[in-house]
This record gives sequence, C-alpha cells and structure tokens, in this order.
Amino acid sequence: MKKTILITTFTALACCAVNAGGLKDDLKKNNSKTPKIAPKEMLKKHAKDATKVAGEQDELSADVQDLVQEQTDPKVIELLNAAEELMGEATELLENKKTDGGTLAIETEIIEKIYEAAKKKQSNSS
Amino acid sequence: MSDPLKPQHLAPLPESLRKQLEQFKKHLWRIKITEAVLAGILGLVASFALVFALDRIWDLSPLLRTVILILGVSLFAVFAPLWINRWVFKHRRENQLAKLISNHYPNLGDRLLGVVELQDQNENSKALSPELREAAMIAVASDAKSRDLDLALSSTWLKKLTLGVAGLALIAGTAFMIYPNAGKNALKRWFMPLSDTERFTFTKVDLSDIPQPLYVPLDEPFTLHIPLSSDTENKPEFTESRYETKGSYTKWEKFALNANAYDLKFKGKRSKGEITFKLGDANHTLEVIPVKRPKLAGIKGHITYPEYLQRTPITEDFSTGQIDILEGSKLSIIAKADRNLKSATVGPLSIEPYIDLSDLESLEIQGIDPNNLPEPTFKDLNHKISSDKILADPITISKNSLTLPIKWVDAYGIHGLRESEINISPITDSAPSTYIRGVKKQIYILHTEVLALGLVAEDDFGIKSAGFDWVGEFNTPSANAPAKGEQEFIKGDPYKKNVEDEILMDFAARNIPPQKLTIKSYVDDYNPATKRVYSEPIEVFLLSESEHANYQKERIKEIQSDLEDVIRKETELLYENKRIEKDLKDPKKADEAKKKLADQKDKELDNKEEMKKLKEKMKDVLKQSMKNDSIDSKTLKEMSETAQKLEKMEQKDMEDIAKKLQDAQSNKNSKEKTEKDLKEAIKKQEKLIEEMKDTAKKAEEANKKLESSTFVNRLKQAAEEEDSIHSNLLGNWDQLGSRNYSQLDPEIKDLAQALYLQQQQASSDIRWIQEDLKFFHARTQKEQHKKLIDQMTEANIDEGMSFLESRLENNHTYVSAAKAKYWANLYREWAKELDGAKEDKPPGGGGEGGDQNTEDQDFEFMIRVMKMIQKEQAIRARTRALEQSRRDATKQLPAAPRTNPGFEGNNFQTIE
Repeated sequence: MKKTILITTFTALACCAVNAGGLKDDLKKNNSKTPKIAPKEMLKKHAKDATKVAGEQDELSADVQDLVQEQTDPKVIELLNAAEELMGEATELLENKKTDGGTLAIETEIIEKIYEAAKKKQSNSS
Repeated sequence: MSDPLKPQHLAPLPESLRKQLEQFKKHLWRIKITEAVLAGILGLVASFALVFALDRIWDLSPLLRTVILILGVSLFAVFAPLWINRWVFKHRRENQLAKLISNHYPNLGDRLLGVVELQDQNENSKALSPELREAAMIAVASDAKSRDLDLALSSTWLKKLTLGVAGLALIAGTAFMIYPNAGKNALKRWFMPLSDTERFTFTKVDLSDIPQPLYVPLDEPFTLHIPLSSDTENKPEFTESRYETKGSYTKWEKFALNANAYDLKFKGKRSKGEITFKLGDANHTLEVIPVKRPKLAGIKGHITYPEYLQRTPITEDFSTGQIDILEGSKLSIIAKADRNLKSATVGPLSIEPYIDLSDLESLEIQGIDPNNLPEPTFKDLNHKISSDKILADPITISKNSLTLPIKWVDAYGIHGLRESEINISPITDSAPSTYIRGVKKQIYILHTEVLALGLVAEDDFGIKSAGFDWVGEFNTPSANAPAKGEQEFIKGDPYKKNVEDEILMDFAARNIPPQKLTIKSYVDDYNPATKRVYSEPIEVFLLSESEHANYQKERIKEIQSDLEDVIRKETELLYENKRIEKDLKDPKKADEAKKKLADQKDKELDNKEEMKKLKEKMKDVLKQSMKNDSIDSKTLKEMSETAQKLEKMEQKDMEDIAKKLQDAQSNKNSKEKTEKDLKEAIKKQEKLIEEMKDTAKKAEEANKKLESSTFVNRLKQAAEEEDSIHSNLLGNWDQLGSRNYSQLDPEIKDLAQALYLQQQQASSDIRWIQEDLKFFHARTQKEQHKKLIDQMTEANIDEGMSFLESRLENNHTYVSAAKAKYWANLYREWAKELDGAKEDKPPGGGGEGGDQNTEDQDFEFMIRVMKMIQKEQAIRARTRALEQSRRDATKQLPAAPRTNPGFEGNNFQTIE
C-alpha cells in the first residue's frame, strides 16, 4: 500500500517536474509582449494578406459563376459575367500584391455590376 | 659835356634859363610822382580801411572784397601810371614846360615858348637875325629869372594826399594796434578776398554743435541754443533773430544772454527757411529744414523656436507692439524707422516674474503675497543700428512677461515723438488633443468587418504623430491573450496643427479574434515634456458570427418591445378617436370633440416618427445580418419583410390616418364630412393595428429563427473546430507522436500550443452554447431544445472538454485526436436534429406553390446577390486597409521616397 502510494506520488511529481517548463509556461512567455511590427515585417504581412484577399476574391468569383449558371435572363448573365471577369482581374492584381487605387477601382466596378444585375433581376420580377 | 642823347639845338637857350627850366621840370616830376605814389598808397590804405570798417558791420562777401581790393589797387595800378605819364612823360621838353608855365605866367610862357622855338630856327639874314634871337633869349631868361617858376606848377594834391594817407594810415594803424586780431583778419580778408577766411568778430559764437542744415520737427516750436565761444571778446546783452523763408520773414525778436548763451525760440515751421541772428558785430545765418519726426514704420521679430519643435526660424510682423511667443524661443527684435537713424535706446528690458496665482498654497510656501507681487526686474539689452533699422540682441523667452521700450533719434538728430513699447507675452506649448470622430461610444461589428474611424488631432505647435491604441478583453474565458497594440496612422510635421483622417481598421488582418476592444486615439506633439494624450475611449465589440447573430437577435427584441409601445399608443389613439366620433354626434359635445382632432393628428404623427425609427433600426439589423454567413436566407427574408411592413406602415398607413384626422378637423368641412373623415381614419387605424400586431408576430418568429438557427450554426461551427483539431493531430502525427511536450521540436511545440488554444476556445464555445440553450428553452419551452439540453447534459460536456484539453496539454496525440473526432460527430448530430426540428419547415416537407417558389427564388437570388455585394465591399475595405498599412510601412522605412508628393498622412481617396 505504502509502496503504491509512493509510486503514485512519485509519478505525479515526476509528471509535474517533467511538465515544468511545459506548454502553459511557453504560452505565457509568448503572450507577455505586445510585439511592435517593424516596417519590413509590415510589408511582408501586406504581401501575405494581399494573397489571402486574392483568395477570397477568387472564391467569390466562383460563387458568381455558380449564380450565372442558374440565370436565364441574358442581360443579368452578361452583367454577372462582366463582374466575374473583373473579379479575375482583381484577383491577379491582389496576387501581385497590388492594393492601390487601380485595384480598388476594379473592386468598385464589380460591386456596381452585381448591383446592376440585382436591379435587372428585380425589374424582371416586377 | 653835352649829353649825346639830348637833341642839339642850333641856338641853345641861355644857360640860366635852361637851368631854370630844368629845375622846374625836376620839381614838377618830383611832385607828380609823389602824388602818384601817395594816391596808390591811399587807395590801398583806403580799401583796407574800408574792408576793416565794413567787416565790423557785416560779413563782406568775397566778391565785394575783391571789388574793394581792385579799386584800391587800381590807384596804384591805373591812376599812378596815367599820372606819371601825363606829368612826367608829357612834360619832358622845354616847349611842354613853357606851355605849363604859360598857364600861370601867360606872357612869360608865350615868350618862353617863342625862344624855345627859336633854338631850332635856321639863321637867315632875311628871316631872323642871330643877334636879335640872342637878345630875345637873354631878355626872356632875365625875365624868367625874376620869376618863381614853381608857381606855374599846377595845383598839387600832394598835401592832401599826404594828409589823407597819413590820416588813414594813422587810423588804420591805430585800429590795427588796438584790435590786432581784427586788423590781421581784415588784412587777410582784404589781401586775399577769395580765400575763405572767416570774418573776425568781436562777438563769437560756437556753432560747432549746430548742424547745418538744421533739421527741426515739423510744425513744432523749437529752441536754438547759441552759446558764446570761449574766446569771444564781446558779450552782447541781446541778440536779434528772425526766421526767413522765401519772400517772407518774421520780425526781429530779441533774446537775452543767459549763462553765456542765447536761446532763440521759434514757433513751429512748415517750410524751409533761414534763421538770421545778429549779436554785436556777428551775423549768422542758419539754414533750417522742418521735417516730420521719425517714426517706426514696422516692428518685426525674428523667432528661433526651441530645438525640439524642429521648426525653421521665421520672421513675423509685430507692428501692433504685442508679441505672443512660445516659451523657450529666442526673439530678436528688428525695428525699422522711416528714415536712417543716428542712435537708439533699446531697453532696459523689464522682466515681470511669472506667478501662478491659481496655486496659492505654493505661493505661500515661496513666501509670495498674492496681494503684493514682486516688482519687475530690469536687464540691459544691446543693439546695433543699421541705416534705418534697430537690431536688438536676441532675448530668450521664459515664463516671464517682458516689456521693451525703444527710443530713436534719426540722422537729423530728431527724436521720435514718443517711445515705442513692445510687450512680449510667453505662451506655453500646451498639450495636444484628440478624439475619434463620427462613431458611437459602443460599436458592435463582426470580427471580419473593417471599421472606419475618424481620427482627429490638434495641437498648437505641430503634431508629431497620431494613431490608435487598443486593448482587448474577452467576453468569455479564453486562453488567448487579449489584443493589445497601437499603430501610428498619421505622421505629423512641425507645422501641422490639425490633422483629420478616416482610418480603416481591419481587425481580422491584425489577427484580432472576437473580443471587446477599447480603442483610443492618441496624439504626440513635439514637446518632450508633454506626455501622449489619449481620447475618450470607444468600445468596439468584435463579435464572432454567433455572437453577432445574438446581437442582432437582441436588437430585434428591442424592436419588438418598441413596436409593442407603438401598438399600445396607436390603440390608445384609436379609442380616443372612437370617443370623439361618439361625441361628434352629441351637439353639446361636438365642438369640443372636434377641437381634440388636431391633438390626435399630432399624436398620430409622433407615433409615425417612432415607427420610422423602428423601420430604420430594422433595416440596419437586416443589413448587418446579411454580413453574417451564419444567418440563413429564410431568416433574412423574414427580417426584410418585417422591415418592408414597417416602412409601409410608417410612410403610407400612418400618414393617411394623420391626413384624415387633419381633414376631419378642418373648419371648412361640414359635420357630415368631418364624421366621414374620422370614420375612415378609425377604419384605417384598426387595420393598421392589426398589421402591427401581425408584424410584431413576424418579428418574433424571425427572432426565434435567428436564435434557433444560431444554435444550429454554432453547433456546426463547434464541430468544424473539433474536426480541425483532429485533422491537425493526425496530419502531424509523425512529429507529435506520443512524446512529452518538453521533448518536442520547437516548431512542433508551437503547433501543440496552437492546438491547445484552439481546443480551449472550442471548449468555451460549446459551454456557452449549452448555457444559451438553457435560457432559450426557458423562453420557448420547445421540446427539441429540451431534448438537446438533456443530451448535452448526458454527454457531460464540461468533463469531456477538460479531459480533451489535458490530453492536448500532455501531447497525448492519439487520445486527443479520437476525442476531438467524437465530439465533432456529436455536435453535428445535435445540429442536424435541431435543424430538422424547426417550426418553419412545412409539414409535407415539400415546396410551396409555384408563385411562392418563384418569389422565394427571386428573394433567394436577391439575398445571394446582396451577400456578394457585401463580400465584395468587405474585400474592398480590406484592400483599402492593406494599402494604408503598406503606405505606413513605406513611410517608416529609412530612405523610402514618398510615392505620392501630395499624400499626407493617411488621406486616402475614398473610391465609391
């Protein structure tokens, strides 16, 4: 009995000792500072995030493609196709890390095209 | 021996006669030559005497003196030669002498003339007998001998001249001896009339200190101080003076001698002139030019700011005399006059010590009596004169107020009318201020949304930088560290006092998970002593999809509650209208009742306003909900319908009712018309109230759906999280294995930490779902919710989650992966059960009618399209935020050139 208790206690202590400097301690260390991002890091992050946004743009382009296939009105299809084409352009620019006024202008045009398609669809319904 | 040069006569005169004539001639010559000499001397002496005498009265001009000298010398130069010529050269021969003698002795003279002619006559027995000739000559000689030929000399001026010369010489000599200085001066001036020898006067004045010309202040009385010279021989009691201008002059005025000087007082003059004054034998003329007093045309200050401000020195105009300047600056005053200056007096600088009267306790400690403040101290200040400018030495500005007096004297010796005083007040570089513009104090958004915040900052002496600072706080327990950071968005410069920019905060891009963020704007100015200033904070709640849906749900609840109020008010209005309708039928009460209609109309319009607010709120809830993918389209449809209904009620129905009430109360109406209008209003109102109740019901249903659907989505999301943990564990099985955490490779440790944190978050989420479901069931009492709660309790989620976390902590990979998969499957099953048990699923499970299908499809299309637009807008917002951060990073790089010369801070063109 005594032996069992000792072994159990020893194991528990050993685990504690082994885990001393363990996962939770590492987590604490990592979260103690508020990192200040250096400009070069910011630029790297910009490049990475631009790629991410490019991905989202590409996904949205696929959604538009799906939507086009469900439509019958030629004008609505035309507008959605135009929006999809513009999305392709925007995706390419974002993949090339371009986030300037040119890219933003294309994104605005996309919104307008989709909006036009919605209005056209609405007018057809009424 | 006979003179070979003398002409030889045929019959010379008797010797006695000849000798007599010779003597006569010599006498004549002697007298006349003496006269000539004396005349010359007289001329000289007289001209000298004239100059001497006249110089005593006035200052003879060089021309006049020259004339006098010429006249004086002319007697010597012109008269004497002529005299000698007449009396010496023209009286050399005997015949000439005989003619002269004949003036006094006519007979003798004639006879003498005859014998003189006989000397040269040829003897001829027929014409002249030599004996007769000789006898005639002897007779004439004998006659002449008895006469005094000197009497034949013409009247002589010799005596007069001698007397004259002697007299003048005596006078001049005496004057010379008595007044040797005057004499020497007159002699010099007489002998050299064109020289600039000053006239000697017995009365001498010292005009060395009086400038010529003399400038006096225009139109101002002035005094001319004329001191007597130390070597003056005469001190007249009075001097006379007058002012002469072109063509006019004042009358002579007398000024008495006072302390060896004369003070000549004159009235103000406007035009150029001359002052003439006489004292004794001295006459002086001074040119006087009246001019305006000099004044300062402008005062400028050259300001060198404190170094920390990084501003270049400037020169500012301070012609008002008041300078407000930053403490710590250096100020150099430049005063410019309207003409060249001779001298100036700058200072002393009066320093009024700064006392902070607001801190009386501190004053007491310093021993300063606030009612008896210390006197100003003084400090000398050097300066330079540069033509018309006074350049004072720089003054360092401290807290003390300063006063600097300036006086000036122009090149003419005229003082400025009054001194100029410059007051210098120090100003402190006060702390900047900042605030966040255009947003509420609390904002609730999806954590993926980009938030536009207006950053405004102001400072009196230049903004160095401005940005945002955020501190996060989790709403639910989380193993993650809350967000904490700051970022500079506006780079200022020393001259920017106001900055304003719209900043797009993309929290997702900053890896900030859902939490409450307290955001403050901050601003730094250039003063190192000033601490950073923060704005009032705003709270931005970054919501997860489920939290966001919950939030919209709460808002719908509020709308429901407000709609209940509107319905209640509308009902009250309806009852009142009915009472009025009844009273209108009673003649005694009709008038009173009709008057109430106006009030009813106003109340209807008030209620309409309330409805408008509800409509706007509902629309906003719909708009926000559309951003949340976890809210299904059917729920959105119900929200949209609710919003449309509210809009119709507000814009049409309530408007109509108010109009009818307006018409009813019109005095132009007949009784019947009023009753008819009121009846119509009541009818519309009844219908409206029914619609309102119906809408309230729909809103309730939409809310329930929202609430319900969120549970389904939340469960699905929780399942996805567990699936993700499972996949990661299996995918990195080789590296993770079953080793102890401490034995893992550092890179794998990071993965282990991330999985652990992910599980902690997932555990937290599922616990919240369980709790929320309990509350939801308490309200709805729906069987499906109760069933799920029981299942969750039975599954012992708490213990399960703790177990999974501890396995992950100890890197028990296999067990953790298995357990994660187990929980994922369970959550998915519960979501399916809950989703399948929803009320709005039609009994047949099939579709509705054809028209309804088309309508639903159209609505579905609209929803999808609106979501696409929203997604694209979000993409655009994130692109914009990325561009902002790229530019910030580019600006912060060491030698990065500006890409856009006109770009300042984060002024980003909004492309719409």
